Amino acid sequence: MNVKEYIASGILELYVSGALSEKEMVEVSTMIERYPEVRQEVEEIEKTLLKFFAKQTPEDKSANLKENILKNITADIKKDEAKVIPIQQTEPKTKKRSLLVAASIGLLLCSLFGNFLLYTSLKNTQKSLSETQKRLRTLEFEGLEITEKASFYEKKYSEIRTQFKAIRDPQFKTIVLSGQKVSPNSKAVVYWNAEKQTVFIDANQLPPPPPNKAYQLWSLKLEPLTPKDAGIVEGYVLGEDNFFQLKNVKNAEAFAITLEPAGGSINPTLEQLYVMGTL
Amino acid sequence: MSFSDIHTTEQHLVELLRKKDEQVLNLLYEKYGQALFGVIYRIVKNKQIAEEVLQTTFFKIWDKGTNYDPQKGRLFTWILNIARNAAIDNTRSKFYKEALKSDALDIDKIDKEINNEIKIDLIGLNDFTKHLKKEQKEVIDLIYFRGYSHTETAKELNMPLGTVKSKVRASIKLLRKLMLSE
Repeated sequence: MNVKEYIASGILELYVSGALSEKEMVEVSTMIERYPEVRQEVEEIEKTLLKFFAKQTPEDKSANLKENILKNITADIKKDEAKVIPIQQTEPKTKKRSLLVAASIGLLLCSLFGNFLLYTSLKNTQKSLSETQKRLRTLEFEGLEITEKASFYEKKYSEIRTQFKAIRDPQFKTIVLSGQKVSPNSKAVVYWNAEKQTVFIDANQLPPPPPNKAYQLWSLKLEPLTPKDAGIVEGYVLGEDNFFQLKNVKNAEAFAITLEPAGGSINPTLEQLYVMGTL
Repeated sequence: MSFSDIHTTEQHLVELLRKKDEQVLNLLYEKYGQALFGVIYRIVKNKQIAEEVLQTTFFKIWDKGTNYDPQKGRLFTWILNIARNAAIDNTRSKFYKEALKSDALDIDKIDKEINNEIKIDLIGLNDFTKHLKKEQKEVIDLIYFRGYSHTETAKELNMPLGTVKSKVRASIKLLRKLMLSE
């Protein structure tokens, strides 16, 4: 696919909304780094959306909205920075000096003691209030984090469900590919829907490919033996599902997987034939 | 503003966000504030709530700024996601329904709209979206306002992935043209 086709495919419009899988998002980011025309298109889309979204605001929106929001946040940041809330010291009343000295000292002491009690209780209340506020904020953020996680799993679940739904189609044939000389213990399963030409591969029982190498699936016609590229297994991660949809296959009598240099080969490297199975 | 300007600005914003420099808030609001408010308002459909959600959004941007990873998407995309999630989250809360009640709005109608699987009317209020076809509106609604992934959108609208892609492309192209003629 050339850059023009890539831009025209609609993938960039999805990218700007974050509607792609995490892997695809990273892929598009790489394309942006590599091709200035892709970057330019992404920026155009973003500009269009910024304008389009801005048009959705109500006409009577509050004046000073921006100022209020920024003020509140700045206040919150300040609050976080200040560990202890400063407290205004109340001045003890020491002016009743027209009374008898003893009485005035007695009253003064009482007043001081009272003030001290009040001051301590005020300090405690403010401390617990600020702790509660802090705790509340933490909880709010935790709540938002959980929502984010839930939507991530929702996305993942729907991807898996789509695959599951596809292979439940009774037209699917299951072809078990068994280990060959290079790797007798390997195994793989191909799910092929000849009608719709869809192909899934379960690569979980293949050893992790060495760096700069990738597994490539071939569909084979037997007489004469003609291999046809059926896609490269990209994104193999040990411990993950390693279940992928590969290229569509129209005709096949057998399937085989070879280990090829990353990016795949035009013809299979038969010395690196890992698994094979016939229909 | 040229394209490279936008690019430097974005890098600059990301840097300030990482350093927790308070002036970034003003810059972010200048650049994205209006648009975010628009998205949130379209989701929560109430001015006062939208303003509160926008506030929450900016709190979160500030708080999570150091987590933003440019490899996973644009700064705008990351921020848009925060705003959408906060808004959608809000519509699910009891508080939202209470607030609408106290505003003496037609709660039954709003409830119905929230529960409606495809809220086409969500973006139907604007003049220039009338140029979009029904299916284009649905795609725009799900992807941009409801934060659906492309596979979820394909499933929801029962169309192939390729069709979703070409529809979203065509819609944005049209919107772009309409914006230019504004």
